[in-house]
Amino acid sequence: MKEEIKYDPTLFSVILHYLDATTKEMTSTLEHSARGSIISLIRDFSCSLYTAETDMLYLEEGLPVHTLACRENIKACTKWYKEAGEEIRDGDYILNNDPYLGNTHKGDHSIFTPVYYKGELMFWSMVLAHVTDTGSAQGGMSPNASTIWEDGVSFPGIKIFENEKENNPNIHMYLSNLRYPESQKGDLYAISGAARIGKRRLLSLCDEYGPDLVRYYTKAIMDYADKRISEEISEWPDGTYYGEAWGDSDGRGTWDIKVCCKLTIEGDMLTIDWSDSDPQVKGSINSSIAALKANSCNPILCAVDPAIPHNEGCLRHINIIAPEGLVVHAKWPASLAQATYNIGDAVVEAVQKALAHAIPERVTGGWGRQPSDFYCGYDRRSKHPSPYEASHYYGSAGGGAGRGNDGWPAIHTACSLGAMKTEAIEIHEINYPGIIEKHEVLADCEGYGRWNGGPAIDFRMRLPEGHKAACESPGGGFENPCAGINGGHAGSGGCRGFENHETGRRTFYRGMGIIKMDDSQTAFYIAPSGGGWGSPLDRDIKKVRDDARDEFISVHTAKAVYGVVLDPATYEIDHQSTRELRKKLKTREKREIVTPDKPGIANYVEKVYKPGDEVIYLEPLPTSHKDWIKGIVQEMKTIGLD
Amino acid sequence: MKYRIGIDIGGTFTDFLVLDELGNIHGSKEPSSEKPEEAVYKGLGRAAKELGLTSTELLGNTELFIHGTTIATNTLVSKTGPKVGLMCTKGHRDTLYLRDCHRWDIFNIKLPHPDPFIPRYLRIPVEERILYDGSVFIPLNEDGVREACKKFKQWGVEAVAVCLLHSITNPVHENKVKQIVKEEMPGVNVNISSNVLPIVREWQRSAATVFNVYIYPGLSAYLSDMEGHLKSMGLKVPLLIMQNIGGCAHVKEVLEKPIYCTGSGPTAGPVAGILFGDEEEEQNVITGDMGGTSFDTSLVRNGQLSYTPDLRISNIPFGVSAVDVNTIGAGGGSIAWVDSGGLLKIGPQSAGSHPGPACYNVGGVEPTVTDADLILGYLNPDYFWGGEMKIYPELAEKAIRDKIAKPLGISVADAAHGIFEIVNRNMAAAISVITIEKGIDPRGYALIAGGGAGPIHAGKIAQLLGMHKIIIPSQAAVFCSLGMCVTDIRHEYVKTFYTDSQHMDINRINEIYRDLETEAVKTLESEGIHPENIMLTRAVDAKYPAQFYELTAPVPSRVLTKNDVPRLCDAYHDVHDEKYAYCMRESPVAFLQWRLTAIGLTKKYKRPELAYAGEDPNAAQKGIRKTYFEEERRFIETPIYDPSALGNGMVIHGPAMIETATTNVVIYPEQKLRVSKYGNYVITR
Repeated sequence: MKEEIKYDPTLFSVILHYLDATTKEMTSTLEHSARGSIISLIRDFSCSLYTAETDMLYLEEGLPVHTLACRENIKACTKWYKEAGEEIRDGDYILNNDPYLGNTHKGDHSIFTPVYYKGELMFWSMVLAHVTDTGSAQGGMSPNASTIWEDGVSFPGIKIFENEKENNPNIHMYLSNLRYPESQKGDLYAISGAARIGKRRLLSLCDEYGPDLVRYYTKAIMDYADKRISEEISEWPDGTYYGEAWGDSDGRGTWDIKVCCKLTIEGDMLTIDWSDSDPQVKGSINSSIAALKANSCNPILCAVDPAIPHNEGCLRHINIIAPEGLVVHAKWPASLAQATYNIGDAVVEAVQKALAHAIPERVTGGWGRQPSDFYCGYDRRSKHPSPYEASHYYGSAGGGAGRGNDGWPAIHTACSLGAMKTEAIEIHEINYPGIIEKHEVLADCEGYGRWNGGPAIDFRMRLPEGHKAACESPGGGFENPCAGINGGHAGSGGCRGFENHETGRRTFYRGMGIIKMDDSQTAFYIAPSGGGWGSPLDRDIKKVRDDARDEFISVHTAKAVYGVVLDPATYEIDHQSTRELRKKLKTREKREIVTPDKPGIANYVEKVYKPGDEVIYLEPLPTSHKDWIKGIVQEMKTIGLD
Repeated sequence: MKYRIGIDIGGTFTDFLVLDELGNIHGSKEPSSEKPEEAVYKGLGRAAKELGLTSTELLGNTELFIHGTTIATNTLVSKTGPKVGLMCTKGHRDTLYLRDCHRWDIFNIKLPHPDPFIPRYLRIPVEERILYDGSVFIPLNEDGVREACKKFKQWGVEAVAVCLLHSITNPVHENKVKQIVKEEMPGVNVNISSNVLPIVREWQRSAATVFNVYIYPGLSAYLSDMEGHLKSMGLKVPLLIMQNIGGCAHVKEVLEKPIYCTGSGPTAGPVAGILFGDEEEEQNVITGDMGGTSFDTSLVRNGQLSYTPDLRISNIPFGVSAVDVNTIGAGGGSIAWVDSGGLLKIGPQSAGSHPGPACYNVGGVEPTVTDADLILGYLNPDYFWGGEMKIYPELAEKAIRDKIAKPLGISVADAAHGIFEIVNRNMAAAISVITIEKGIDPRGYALIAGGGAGPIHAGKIAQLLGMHKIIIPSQAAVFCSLGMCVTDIRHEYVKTFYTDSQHMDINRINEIYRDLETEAVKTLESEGIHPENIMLTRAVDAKYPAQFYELTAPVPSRVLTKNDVPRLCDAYHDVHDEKYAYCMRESPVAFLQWRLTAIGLTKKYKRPELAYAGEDPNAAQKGIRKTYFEEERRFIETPIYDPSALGNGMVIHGPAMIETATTNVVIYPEQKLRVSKYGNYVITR
């Protein structure tokens, strides 16, 4: 045995920072060299590092639903190789997109590579990216899929590079299954390149310190995270807490799908039991086990000091129970096309709601769900029309408010926590035919609170003359608003639809599906706001005044919701009336730790509905909505697939 | 005798440098004061006195006076500018608020949303719309503009910024808005985005326009005041201001584009780097300037400055392609601390000069990098700032013992060495951000170290990165102000015109360059530059059609013909190959923004060469002090040298130290230092 290593706090810090710099460099490589807009501009990808034993060593910068799920992915793939008697050798790059083999959903393509140092396996470097097309019949997100085959083609742990050289038959097989082989080839190389950067940096680390020291400190880094999170969780009150949240619909006529989190805190251990959730559904929003585990851990890591390194040391303290056959852990061959966000966002929210009963000051209001989507067609602006598929993530939901902070606007989705980006409108319009008429905050739509949820967004887009497009709508959060916490109000919910330029007539679409639009219409999306935190009657009066002056809220809302009386012309505060009004309103106020406690309560369409408007259901109707529909909807169509 | 004067105002000190026509350098420092100009006038008096002149005589004989100012950055950071109103396209009122919708510290629920800089009620949309190709989709509603002006007046708006979508492709609406605002709000300064910074991406362009109009009044008052005062003191030449694009410009030009004045001081570092690199025959250098509060580093490649397309202030990028200076909170005053999990960290908090490091005994009780340097013996308690300031090792020891050594259960020396090593690692990481993370291997580069604390740490930083050579200028402590004295006059122009290699309108591009070059030459000539000293360089931002991020490639400086199209493409393929390690020669190339850099060359100085004095440095040794070296894991007797007795050619083997009045040069074991013919210290392995 070699001489014993003496712990050196300096070297510990050095190696920790080195890992951080490595994942950042991997991220920068992919962001700047990729071709797909969803990778390069939207930044829907994540990089992480693993130990030889496939324990998560470092993640940063990425979407929690990716990075926290990659560990399931790499564990499942390496297990398959072992059981099949196959070997993963130095210089091999393994591509996996199979959600029944540890991946999130088929749209996420991950590539990982082993890091061998002088013949010894030391680490794994991994990159997971959401690609433009996955070879399904419906394109990118397959909103109406009902089996795993409809989600797209499966690439279950195949070798893309061997010994650092292309495996051309496999690359050929991969590209021949995809709609945009040219740009997706570039992305395949860019994803592998980022994984290669991780490998190179880890090898330099071993060169500098030797493998023994590196292994010693990577273990120390996990122990450090273990110790820190253990201290924090130990301070939380022991007990069992419940949280429920709902997915809007599954694309096949099941509505208000329940996920139920039973959270038990015991000493420094957390157990999250999903057994009481709804059974798996026919449609595309079922969760894979990898996405479930990742989304379950997300609110826990938000509740502890963010400086704790996010690795296996933390995750050891979170135990997840989820029997197969539930919407949160579907059985083969169910479709898992929307596993990451739609139902995944509800999973995040159910954990938040449960946690709120234990440690409300460390939990935020609910984070929005991704409502806007993709559109595709032919760009006919030049003489030579060319096909495109564009993600327009502008109609992006608000983040939850926390104690001391208003929610961020436009964070896309709870499962990403705002790690994605949105491209400049000028860049979008240069590259794609859509004309973006509006991308603004919608007033009076916040999850009101002492701290407000991120506001709702009003997004409107039309097409130039002679253009048609198909819009995929796999998102959610329209019918089930983001949760309010500790007296904060729930978010707004939202809607989507088309408005005819000539008649001004609006068509609202509910449910998931593919909708066709042409140049006679403007597509509109109201992206839901995030949930509030604390009672709006406790919001700083000056902040309420500023919100009204900035037209985030009306003077009426300032008075009715916040109890702040303002002069409508000058926005001056009437302090005397405000004091009296707040006192009066407080006596009537019912403060809930979490709200809502029942499904389908957002009624945004009902609120804005005008006679003459049309409502179209993209899937069979929910029974709960039928009464309302009978009363006022003049025209109603159902484009069900069954 | 003719002089050049460079003045750099920093957070802790204002640096002065006077360069005479023989190439002699006279540097000094003055503590920065609340009113920056006070330190300037005081320091000028002191500098003149050291040369045996009066201020009037010195200024009367000054041929170039260059100033790096912090006013622009401070105005933005401390928000002391005028009340600005922003007019934007209807439907896009929240561009500054929504940003790129990116949260970077994802698990931190306390991360506050960045301030949009202009509150929503002062962002007023006007009805109009121009499309990506410049066509008018919705005509400008002029009455709406007048209504907006009315609202601005009600809110007491003092300056107006205008940024409309796609205005860079067709500025007709912006021009009209400007004209109406001028009518409705006489006397109010109006900036339109297509003038300020004609680049694609509305968020950055809006921010640039807002920043520009916001910085203007303060900068204008300060510079006019200073220019007037210097004139009355006897300065006969116009005042020049250092810009973040790596060159200086006259006050009049600078006030047209105040956004180029942010980060004005540190930009001079790499300019000085080029000079010292030339002297030591190094074309590839990395500058590292470690002062009291921060470490500024920049890359010089093939004798050229490096640029970043994404300069940010208060987390707002504003589209300026500026000299890429990476700044981190690592200076002598950076505070060391231990977190609740037992992790040793340095900065970003700094003790500055008040309350200062613990050893200063002026109120600081937190252990800093300077305290660690003192404990390790890298600073001489009896010769700090040339003996002008007393420092207290016992206070440094107490701070490190109580705050670091005890919580970690290690000795004071180990704790001090831990601080020393981590701050070195942080600085090495800052250098790797501008090198390794961009695919550049720093091992082929020489490190040029400046600033008060730089020469102590340079040897270790270079070792960590495997850099082969360190150059420490004899006036390392006033490094940036020297850069200012040798800088050229520089202006940047950009015109957006989308085209691609298959449909190239060569005549239009020739027209663009004819217009830009006429304007550039006119400006430089008005600044007193002779035509033979004007250098014009063209470049274009290009990409493959499917890509989203551009790279800048060179464009030949002559009338272009059809035959130049493949040349332009090749230039782009080459740049791409170098940066991303691949290119697609068969692919067409799209071109977006046509750039022109106009440089007015100032006269070059060559510093005098020193007479060869032989290799033996023994005569310059002035004493011995116990100093800690990690290689030995203990304090060892270390020879100390007097810089005034060192001569060209002398070689000192590490471990050793040179003590100057403003900094110490540490030579680590297995390193050796040679004094060059220009008096620079060159350290190699």
